[in-house]
Amino acid sequence: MNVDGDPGVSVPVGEAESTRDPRLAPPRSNGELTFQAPWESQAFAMAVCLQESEVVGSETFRNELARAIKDWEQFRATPWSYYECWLTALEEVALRHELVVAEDLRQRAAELAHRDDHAH
Amino acid sequence: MDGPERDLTAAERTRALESLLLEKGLVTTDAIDAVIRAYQDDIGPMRGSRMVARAWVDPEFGRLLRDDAPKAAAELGYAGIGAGQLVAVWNQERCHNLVVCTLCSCYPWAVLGLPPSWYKDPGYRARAVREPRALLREFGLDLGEDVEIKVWDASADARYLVVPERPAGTDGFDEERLAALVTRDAMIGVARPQTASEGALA
Repeated sequence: MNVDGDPGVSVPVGEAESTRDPRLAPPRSNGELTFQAPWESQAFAMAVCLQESEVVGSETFRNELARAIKDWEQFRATPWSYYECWLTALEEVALRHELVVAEDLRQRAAELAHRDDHAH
Repeated sequence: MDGPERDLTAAERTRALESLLLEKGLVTTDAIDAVIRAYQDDIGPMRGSRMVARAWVDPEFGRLLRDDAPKAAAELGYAGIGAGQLVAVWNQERCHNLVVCTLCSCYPWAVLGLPPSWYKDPGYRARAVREPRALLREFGLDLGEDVEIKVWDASADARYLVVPERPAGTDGFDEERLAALVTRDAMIGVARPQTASEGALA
């Protein structure tokens, strides 16, 4: 059994080291890539907006995020992605607060995916 | 429903959610863009650095930061997520502070910006509590056995900012020069601030 390649369980020290090399530092982000993909920033900002407009309580969101991270830690079914946990938490909160309906969400995602699959 | 065979990607899930929330008027593209822009351009560790440097040069501000950190942040015009729950913890010669959020990623966003990815990493979150000394050594911070390490577990109610000790040889430095020495990592507690000579090279 392969026990190697357990992603996300060791602190990526190399990355921390790289933050000290100013050549590697993108502007304004102190050496970190703030977001690695546009969807991460979109998901991040949506959650911030919903909290700032008090549609969703920050404690509620935080608890959901903690739960999503805990679930990942339990099963480790996918490579570690903080923003995937963030997105899962956001979906859960949106569903529980009935901001969206599960069926609508599935259908909209499928429509968008279908459109993309045919756009090549 | 004419759904795809494969699993939806995170990008697709995000777009679906965004599109529904936009339709319902619960978020706007302007607000989303403004948040992204703010966190990428304006809200970052430079804010925390400014607070620490001000505390070093201005004892009255230092006291305010110690006693009522949210008020100290507000005095500099720093607001946003986590500002109201800000707690400053001060390093001393024999006591070093380290911040972690064991449950998720609570962090003083309003004054440090977005947390670095290693802060959110399961390894960091577990080891900061279990073996902080070894962890800090891997970050390049080798603390003597006579230095106590206090680990602060951040929550939605308490978001910690480490105030490092002022580096030696900075007596003549003004607030701006001092702020340049205070790195994000130093305010999380995984590094010391830059030394006076490192600051001079920057």
